[in-house]
Amino acid sequence: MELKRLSEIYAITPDPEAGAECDQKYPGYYTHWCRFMVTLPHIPLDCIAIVHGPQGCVGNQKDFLGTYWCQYHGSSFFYAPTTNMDQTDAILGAEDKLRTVIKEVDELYKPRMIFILVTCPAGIIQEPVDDVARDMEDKVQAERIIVIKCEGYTSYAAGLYNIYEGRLLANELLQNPEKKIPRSVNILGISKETHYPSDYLEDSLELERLLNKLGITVNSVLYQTATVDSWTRATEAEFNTMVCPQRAMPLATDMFDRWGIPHGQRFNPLGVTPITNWIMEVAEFFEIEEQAEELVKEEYTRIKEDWEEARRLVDGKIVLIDGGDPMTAVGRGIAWGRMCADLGMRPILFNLPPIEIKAKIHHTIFAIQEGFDPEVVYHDYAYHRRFSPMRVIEELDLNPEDIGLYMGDVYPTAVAKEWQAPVFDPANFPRIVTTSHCNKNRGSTGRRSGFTGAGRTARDIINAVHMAERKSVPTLYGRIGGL
Amino acid sequence: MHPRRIVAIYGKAGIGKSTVSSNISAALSQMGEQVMQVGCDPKRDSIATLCGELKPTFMEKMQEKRKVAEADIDEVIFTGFNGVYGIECGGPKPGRGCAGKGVNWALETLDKHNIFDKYGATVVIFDVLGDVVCGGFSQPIRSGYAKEMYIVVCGEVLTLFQANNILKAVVRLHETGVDVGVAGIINNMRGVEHEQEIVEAFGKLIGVPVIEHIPRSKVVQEAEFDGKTVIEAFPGSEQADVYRRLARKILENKDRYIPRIASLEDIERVIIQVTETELGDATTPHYR
Repeated sequence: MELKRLSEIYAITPDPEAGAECDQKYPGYYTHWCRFMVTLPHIPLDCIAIVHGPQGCVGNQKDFLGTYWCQYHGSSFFYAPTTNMDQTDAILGAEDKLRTVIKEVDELYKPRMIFILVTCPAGIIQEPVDDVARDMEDKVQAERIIVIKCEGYTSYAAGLYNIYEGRLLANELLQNPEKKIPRSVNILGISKETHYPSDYLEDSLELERLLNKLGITVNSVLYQTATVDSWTRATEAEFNTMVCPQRAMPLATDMFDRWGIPHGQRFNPLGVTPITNWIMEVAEFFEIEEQAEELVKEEYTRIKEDWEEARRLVDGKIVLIDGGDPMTAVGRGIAWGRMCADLGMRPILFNLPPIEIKAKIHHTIFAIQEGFDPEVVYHDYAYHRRFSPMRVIEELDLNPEDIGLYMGDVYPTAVAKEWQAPVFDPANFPRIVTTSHCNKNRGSTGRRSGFTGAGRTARDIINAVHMAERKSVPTLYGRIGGL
Repeated sequence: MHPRRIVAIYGKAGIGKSTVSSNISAALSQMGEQVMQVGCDPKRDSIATLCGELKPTFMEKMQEKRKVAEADIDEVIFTGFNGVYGIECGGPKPGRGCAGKGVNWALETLDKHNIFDKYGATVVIFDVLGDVVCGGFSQPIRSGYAKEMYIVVCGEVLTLFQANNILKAVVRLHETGVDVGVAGIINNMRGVEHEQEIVEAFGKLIGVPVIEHIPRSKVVQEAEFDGKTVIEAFPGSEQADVYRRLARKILENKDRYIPRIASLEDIERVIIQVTETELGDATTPHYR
């Protein structure tokens, strides 16, 4: 275990397309990113996805997505009817079943469009799905039937999957614009949330709030949980902004290449400086910099007290950021790290497999381009293998007194009274739980975007530092949200 | 009671596996054996001459009921000439599903319900599509249904190439520990010049004996027109004697061989050598 810069790890890690070399070094990586799994949540909200395959495909993915994706704020349930292919269907084919399900789904749900997602068994026996879709299109009320061949055995590097989905959906759904909407932008790369009011404030709603204050309207929020209309009107925007670059960049590139729509370079606006840069980038495009500077000033004033108090408490300290929390998320780790650096901290990211850093190419490249090149614990992790923060502290010979903050899930590393192991006692470290499980934090945005998110994070840091000073036994309440 | 012998007849599509298998079954039944012939080819014509017509298949029953119970299996087992039992695995509709998996599923289902014991079969003959084009069609070998395999060939070069492909599957599976061996080659002659010599040379090349040369005969076609085996339609014919002799050899055979794999060039060279010896350079066929 050693510390390397993000850029260095990116440079020395084999390409995710390297096949056997990657499989040996990072076993489990390819199986994690099943094409079907990453396609299912991106089907437009007013459409329905028929999964042509066994129920197990849907069950497993709904479980995974429900656990790790939906518990942010958004849709907590991905409904996907299936043809429920079984062994008999694998032998005889299930074309007739597919036709029946298409008819049923069309009558029951009256979806705008029907998507057919093809999983492994149907793909292996080469079910004539395209022929069925073509034939059934005239027989249903849905506008279109679109086939997406997303068999899991064709799994690919995680960094490429969004390119695949983004381009596929873009090809199918984007249209030539009939008009341009002045002063309008799209927010690209939003996932794991719904762009409508719920019990919690969404990232996209926070960004929309800020943009509206500048007189800019949000045309479309793409692409998870978008509607068909969100897609078809997307080309009418003047400018594309980005949140998650991994998802946004392929789409932004396509829209620039095909319709000349310019896009920004700022991403994941967590923290005061990143959200300021994000707003100013949009403002520069619309030539309203002065107005934007006023907005930034006004918004910062709102959170200034907490932000500066947090900075006072953690400035110069190390922040340990658990990147595998709860699943490897390069973008999330980088965004949290950049926010902590904004507070004067030295971010150290761990539990980030090098292959993931390489594969999530846009996250990595965008961070480096922006000049944020944090230290990352380098190790040939088996995919999803995790180290405890205590082991990181010991192996890197860090002084626990220098650790100002720990961002990650405390559950796997909390002190165990009976066995006294693992020994990491979260009561002694200020910590903020960043997992999707515990991120439903009233008063904050989903992933702490914007000034609202920054302000809430600052308040959490202040609370966490004070709580750690108590050196008390952590309670369930204390574990959640850093309170 | 378990069958005394389980025999698998492999060969390229259209080579005459079903004709050979049915006549062997018929001949064995006359030798006192209780034979069950299992057609493992989506073409589903394996037991047609034993039963007088094309019969409903296992997979048609699957299509109808989705889950096949033991009673359903009884409905697709037919009694043919001289008490020979016949069953056709069948296959999905052309262009759909996976026939290889279907054949294997059918064999597993027969096994699961102890059908061979239930019907008192002493000899079981699997008539298997030999175009081992994917893992599915090699599954009967892998699953142990083809421990004693006979390969039907003729003197045509492409048939020998295809037989060689089957042998490759045998060798590869044997190396992985599967109990499989080739017991002999059956030359179902097509009238190719020097056919016996070519097939004998092929047998030597791969190290497996040719156990019978079945001459081409009109009576085979005439019997099939009547929906019968030669044994049934022309019991006194020379052709029937050939099938009886072959059946006897199979019944008495105790040897199995792991073949040597030949390259396509080896096979081509053997054929050229035979034809050159017989015809001279001027008429050497060019197979490329």
